[in-house]
Amino acid sequence: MIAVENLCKSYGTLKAVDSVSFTIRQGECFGLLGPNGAGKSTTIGMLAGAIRCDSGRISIDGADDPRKPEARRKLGIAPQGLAVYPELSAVENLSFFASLYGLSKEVTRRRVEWAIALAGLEERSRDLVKRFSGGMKRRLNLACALVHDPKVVFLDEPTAGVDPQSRNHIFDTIETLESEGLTVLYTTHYMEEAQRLCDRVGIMDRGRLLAIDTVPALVSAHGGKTRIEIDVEEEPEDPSVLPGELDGKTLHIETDKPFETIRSLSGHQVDLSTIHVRSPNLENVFLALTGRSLRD
Amino acid sequence: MHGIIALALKDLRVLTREKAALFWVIGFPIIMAIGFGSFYSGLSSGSGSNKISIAVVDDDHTDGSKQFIDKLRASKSLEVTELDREAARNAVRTRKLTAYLALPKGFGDTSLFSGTTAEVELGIDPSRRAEEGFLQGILMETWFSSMRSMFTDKQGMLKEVDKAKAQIAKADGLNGAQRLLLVTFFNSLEKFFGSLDTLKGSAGAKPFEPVKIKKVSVTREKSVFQRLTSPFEISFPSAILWAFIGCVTGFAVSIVLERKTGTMLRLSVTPMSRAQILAGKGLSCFLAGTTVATALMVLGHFAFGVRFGNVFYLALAIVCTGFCFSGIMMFVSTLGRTEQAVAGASTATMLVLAMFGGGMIPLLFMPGWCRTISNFSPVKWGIYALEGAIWRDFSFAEMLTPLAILLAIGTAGFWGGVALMTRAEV
Repeated sequence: MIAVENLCKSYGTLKAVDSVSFTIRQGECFGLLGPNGAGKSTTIGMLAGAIRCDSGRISIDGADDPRKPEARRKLGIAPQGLAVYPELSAVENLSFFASLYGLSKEVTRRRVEWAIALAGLEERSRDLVKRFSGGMKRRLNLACALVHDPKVVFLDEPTAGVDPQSRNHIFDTIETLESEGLTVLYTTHYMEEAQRLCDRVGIMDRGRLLAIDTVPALVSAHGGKTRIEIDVEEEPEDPSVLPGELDGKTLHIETDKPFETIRSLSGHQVDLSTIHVRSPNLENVFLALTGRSLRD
Repeated sequence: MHGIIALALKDLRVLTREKAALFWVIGFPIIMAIGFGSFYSGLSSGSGSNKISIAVVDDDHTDGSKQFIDKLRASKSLEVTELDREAARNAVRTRKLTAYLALPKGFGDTSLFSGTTAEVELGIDPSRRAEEGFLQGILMETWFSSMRSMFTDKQGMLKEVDKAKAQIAKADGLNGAQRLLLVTFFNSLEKFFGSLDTLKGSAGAKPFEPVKIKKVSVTREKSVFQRLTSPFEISFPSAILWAFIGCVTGFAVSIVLERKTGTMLRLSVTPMSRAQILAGKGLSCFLAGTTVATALMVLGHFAFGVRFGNVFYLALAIVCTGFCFSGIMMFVSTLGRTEQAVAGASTATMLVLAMFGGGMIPLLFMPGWCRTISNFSPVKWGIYALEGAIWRDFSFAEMLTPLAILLAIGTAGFWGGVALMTRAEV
C-alpha cells in the first residue's frame, strides 16, 4: 500500500529525514517509534504531500505523487496538534472536512454520524469544540481524519496529552479500524502504544530509520536478555554457584530463559524474599540502537 | 470550487463567533462612519464655517458708511460684526476673525466728482493670503455695487451734481474759461438727469452693468459640501474601506492560525491545492467585506441620509474594492509564519495605505503632495470609486479608472499570495 525509498529532507544543515525507506502493507498498522525531533512528523508530512522531500520516492496505493488529488482522497491525517476549529461544533468540524472531499450531502451526513459515534461524542456533537476536554478534542481530531473514509490514515502522536480513558478509546478505535482493513501509519514516542497497536515498528532517531520489524523480532534482535532481580533472605555460603552476581542481598541475573533460571535457584538452597523480572522491550531496543533512552 | 466555497463559509462561520474580530469588521467601521460623519456635519453646517468672518470699524457714522456696511452684511460670503478698532485688532490677532475693515471719517461724504478716493483700512493676518485676495474682491464688488446704485438713483445723482457745482463756485484755482466750461458741463448733466423720467420708457429701467455675468449651475463644479445631501456621504465610503481593512487584518492571520493549530496540514492533505485554499480564504474575506459594505450603505441610507447614487456603479465599486482588498489579504497573509509577523505586517501595511489613501482624513483636506502619494494607495481608489457612484456623479468611463486599478491590485495580490504560499511549507 505504501512504499518509501530513500526519503530525505534537510532544513539548512539539519538532516530531518535521512534516507528513510520502508513499506506498509494494506491493513497493517505500522509504527514509527522515536523521541521528539526524530523526524517522524516530517516523514508523515512528506507522505501526506504537505512537505516537499529533497529526494526519494513515495508511492501510496499506486500513486507516485501524494500531492495529486486522487492520492489525497485516499489519505487521512490526524496531526500532532489538535487540528480542529474550536469555534465550531463537532458536527460542523466533521461536516466541513468531509465537504472538502466532494462527498454528497447524504454521504456526508452518514459519515459524520458514523464519525461522531466513533469518537463517542453523541451527546456533545452540537457543542462548540472549545468547551471540550482535551481527550474529547483528541477523539474528534482522529474522527476528522477518518470522516471521508480514507484507505490510509496517518496518526501523528494521536494520544499526546490525553487521559487514560480517552487513550483506551483511541486504541480501541484504531484496533477496530485496522481489523476492517484500514492501513495505519502511527507515530509515537510511547513504546507501550507501539507494542500494543503496531504490527511492525520502525525505530527512528535523528532522521534515520535504524531498524524495522515486528515488536518480538526487534526485542529478540536488539533487546538483550531478561533481567531478574532477586532479594535473598541470607547470603549463600558459596555465591559463585549462583547464576548471577550478588550485590549485598540482591542477586542480579541476565538470562534468555527466566523461568528455568528461577526454577534452578531452588537447587542452590537460597531463600528468596522478592523477585523482579524485567523482560526486554522497545525501550531496551532503542537504548541498544542509539545508546540513549526514548525519554532523553 | 465546492471546496473553496466550503472553506469560505467555514471562515465566515468562525468569524461570526469571534466577537473581537466582528468588532473590527463591523463595529469599528460603523463608529468611524458616524463619528467622522458628525464631524463633517459640523464643518458643512456650522455657523459661518464657509464664510469669511470680518469685523467692521465704522469711524464715519454717516448714511454712506452705514449703507456700505449693510451691503457687506448682505454678502453671502461674509459674516460681518461691528466692533471698535481695538476689539477688531484683537479679534484678528487671536484668529477669532479673519480680518477687519475700518471706514475712516469722511468715507460717506466722498463725492463722485470730487476726484478724492475713500481710503479704507484692511487689517488681516499675513498668513491668510488666500482670504486676503478673496476679501479684496468682495470689497471691490461691494464698492462697485454702491456706485451702480448711485448711478441709477436720479435724486442721488442730482445731489452729487449740486455738490460739484458748489465746489466749483468755491474753487479759487479756476480761471474764467475753466469755470464756465465746468458749470456748462454740470448744467448739461443736471438737465440729463432731470430728463431721465422721460427716457425711462424708451431706454428701459435696467441699471448700468459694466459686465453682465450669466450664471450657469454646473453641478459637478459645486464644492464638495454643496454636492453632498448628507455629510455622512463622505464618512461612509471611508467607513466601508475601514470594514475592508478590518477584513484584511482579521483574515490575514487566519492562515497562520491554521498553520499553528495544524488545520493547515489537514487542509493541505485534502484534494484542494494551495491556490484553492488561498482562494477560499480570499472568498471569505470578499464575502465578509462586501456584506459589511452593503450593510453599511443600507444603514447610511436609512439612518443618515446617504444616497445610493448610481446603484449599479455602487455595486461595482463595492465588488471591485472587495476583490482588491481580498487580494491584498491573500498576499499579506503569506508574508510571515507567525501570528505576530502577519498581524504586524497587515496592520502596518493597512495603516499606511489608509493614512495616505484618505481613510483617516479625507483627501480633500490633505496637502497636494499627500494627494499625489495617495495614488499608490488602493484605499484612495476604493473611496474614489464609492464616492463616484454615490455623489461625484461619475460616468461609466470615469468609473473605469478606479475600478480597473482596484481589480489590478487584487489580481496582483492573489497571484503574489499564491506564489508565496506554494513555496512555503505547512
